[in-house]
Amino acid sequence: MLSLKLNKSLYHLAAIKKAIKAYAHLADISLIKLKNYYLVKFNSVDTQIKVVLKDEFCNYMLALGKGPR
Amino acid sequence: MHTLGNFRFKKINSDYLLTNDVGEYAFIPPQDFNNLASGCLNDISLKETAILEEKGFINLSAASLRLENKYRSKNSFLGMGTSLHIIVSTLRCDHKCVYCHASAQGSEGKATDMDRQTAKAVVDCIFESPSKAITIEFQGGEPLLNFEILKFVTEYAHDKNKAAGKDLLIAVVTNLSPLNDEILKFLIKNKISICTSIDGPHNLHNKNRFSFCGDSHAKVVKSFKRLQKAYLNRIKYRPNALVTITRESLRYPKEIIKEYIKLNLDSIHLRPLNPFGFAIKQQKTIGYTADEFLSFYRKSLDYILKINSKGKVFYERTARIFLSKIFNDDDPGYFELRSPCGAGIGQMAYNYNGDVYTCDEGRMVGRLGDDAFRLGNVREDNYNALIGKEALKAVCTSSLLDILPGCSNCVYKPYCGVCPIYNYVTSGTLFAQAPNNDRCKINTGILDYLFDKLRVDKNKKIFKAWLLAHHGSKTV
Amino acid sequence: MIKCKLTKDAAVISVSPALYPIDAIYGASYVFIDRAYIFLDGDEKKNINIYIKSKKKSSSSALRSLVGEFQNELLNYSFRDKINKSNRKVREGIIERALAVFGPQEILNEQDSGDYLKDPLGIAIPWEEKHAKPKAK
Repeated sequence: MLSLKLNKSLYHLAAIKKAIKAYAHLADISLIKLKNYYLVKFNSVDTQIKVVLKDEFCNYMLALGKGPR
Repeated sequence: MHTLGNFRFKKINSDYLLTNDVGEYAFIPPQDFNNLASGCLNDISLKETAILEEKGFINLSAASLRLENKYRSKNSFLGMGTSLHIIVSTLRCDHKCVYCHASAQGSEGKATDMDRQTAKAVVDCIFESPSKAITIEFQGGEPLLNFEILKFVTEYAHDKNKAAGKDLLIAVVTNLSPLNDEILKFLIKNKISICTSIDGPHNLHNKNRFSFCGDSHAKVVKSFKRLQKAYLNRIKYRPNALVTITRESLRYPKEIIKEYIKLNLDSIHLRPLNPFGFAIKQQKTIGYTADEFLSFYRKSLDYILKINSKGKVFYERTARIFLSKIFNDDDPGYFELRSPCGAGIGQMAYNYNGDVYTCDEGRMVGRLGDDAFRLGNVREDNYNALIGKEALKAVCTSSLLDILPGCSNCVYKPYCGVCPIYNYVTSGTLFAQAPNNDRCKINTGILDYLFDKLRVDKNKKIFKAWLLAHHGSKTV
Repeated sequence: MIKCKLTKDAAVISVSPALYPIDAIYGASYVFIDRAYIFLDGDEKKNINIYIKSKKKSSSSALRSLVGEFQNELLNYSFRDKINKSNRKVREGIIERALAVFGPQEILNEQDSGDYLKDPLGIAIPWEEKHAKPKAK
C-alpha cells in the first residue's frame, strides 16, 4: 500500500481534497488527519502507475495554483 | 532616495528585460539589475534612472498619473460590448482542406444553410449589442455558397443601421471559388471586406487545400487578382489573404513569403495550426511541435526583415499585433491576445441554425458534439440573455491573466493572452497550465525574438514603420 | 543560505522561509512541474525542504543543472514577491482609478429589468398574503 505524509503548513486540506477527487479513478484514496500531517493512503493501485502515482499527485496539488493553499 | 517600482523581468541574452502592467519596457544591464534586486537603487546609472523612473520601474508614485491614463486607454475595450459577430451561414464547402477546423461538409444539400428567418433573428440580436462599431464576418464552410443569405444579411443590416448609426463593416472569409460577376458586383456595391486563404506556391497550396472544382491555387489566385483590380481605388478594405502553416509548409518559409509579395500583398499572417474541429484528427500527419514552428517563424521573420531593409514595407501580422501592444496606448483588438479574451464580450459566433457560441472556437467544439460553449439560440435568447450566460463568464474568467499562475508573473503578460477553449481541447480544463503548453511556448518564442530584435535601432525603425502601414480598421 | 543534497536521481534543497517566502517556493515549483516531481516538507517557519526528482532518467550533471535552474528560479520568485509587496497599494490604486470610468453599463440595467419580474425579494407580494393570520376554521 502506498502512502504520503503531507505537511499541514505546506499542503492545505482543500487542495488535497481536490487532488483526491481528480485521482479517484486511479486508486482508492483515503485521508487521515494527524497532528502536523495529513496521511493520504492509496489502495488498489494499478501496477503500471504505482511508480509515479504519488509523485504525480504531489505535482497536481502544486499545479492547482502556485501554492496548494 | 529611490524606491522600487513595479515590473516583471526576464533575462534575454546578457541583459534584463523589464515590463509593467501598461506594456512599458526597458532593457537594463546586469549590474543595474543586480542593484535593483539588492535594493541599491541609488547605485543605478543616472541615464538608466531617468528611463526607469519615467516608466514606473522605480519611484512608482511619481509616474502613477501617466500610468493610470495609459492603463485606462489600454483597457478601454472593457464594457464596450460585442463588436465582432461571426455568422456561419453554411457548413457547405467545395474544398476539403487538410486542417479544416470549421468542420465543413460537402457542397451539396442545403440542410446546413442558414435560412432567412434565422438570419433576421441573428441580425436583430447583433444590433442589440451596445458596441458603437459592429463587424459582421461571414465564415463557413464557404459563405459564398449561401450567397442569398449573405445578400439578405448585408441589406438588412444596412437598413437597421440607418437608425442605429453604428460603424458597420461587413466582411467575408472565402476561398473565392464561387466568385462570379453577380457576387463581385454585390461585394463592390456594399464595400465588403474580403479575406481568402493562400497557403503558398502552387504545389504547397494544393497539397493543403484540395478543391472539388479543380486546381485550387490557380482558381484562388485568378479570383484574388480580379478582386484586387476591382477594389483598387474604390474600396478602402483591400482584399487580404491568410496562410495556415502545416508540417509541409515548414520547409518553405521564403517561398511562402515570395508568393505573397508576388500577389502585391503587404503583409502575411503566419498562423500555427489550431487543435479544433477536424484538424484534431490530422495532427499526426500535418502537425508539428512548438519548437518546429518557432524555427520556421524565426527564419521567416529574418527574411522579412531583410526585405524591409531593402526598402519594401512588408510585415507579419502576429508580430505587428505584438508590436502594437508594445508601442501603442490603445488595444489593437485582437481577441486571442487580450486579457480577458474576446469570448462573448468581444465576439460571438452564430451557427447556421441560430445557435450562438462564445466564439468561433467554441462553435467548432460544438460541431464535434460538445456544447459547453453554446450560449443559446437567437430565436429564444436576446443579446442580454446571451451575455449573462455562465459559459461566457467562465471563459472570460479563465482568460484573465492576472489570476493565472505562470501568466500573472510573466514578463510578457501585458502583450499576451490565453485561449481557454484551446486549453479545454488540449488539456481538458479552461485554465492554462502555462508555461507548459504549445500556445504559450509559441507566444513566448515570438516575443523573445521581437524583443531581441528591438535592441537594434535599424529593426526598431522597421517595426515602427509596420505600425504605420494602413492604420486601424479591423480587417479579417 | 540554500543547502543542497544530491542522491542518485533526486535532490533536496533546504531553504529558510525568512529568506525565501513560501509563495516564492510555490511559484518556482510551479515552473518545474513539467520536468520534475516536486515535494515539500519541513517547518513553514524554520526550514523548508524541497525534494526534486527529474521525470526523465538523467545523469548527475543533468540533475545538478536542473537543481541550479530551480535555485535561480527561487531567487527570481523571491524578488517578484518583494516587488509585489512593496508596490501593491500603489498598483491597486492606479488600476482602480483607471477602471473607475468603466462603471456599471446600460447592459446591466437592462438585465435588471428582466430580473424584477421574478421578484426575488418578494416585494410584489401583498402584505396581507405575507403577514395575515390564517382565518379560524
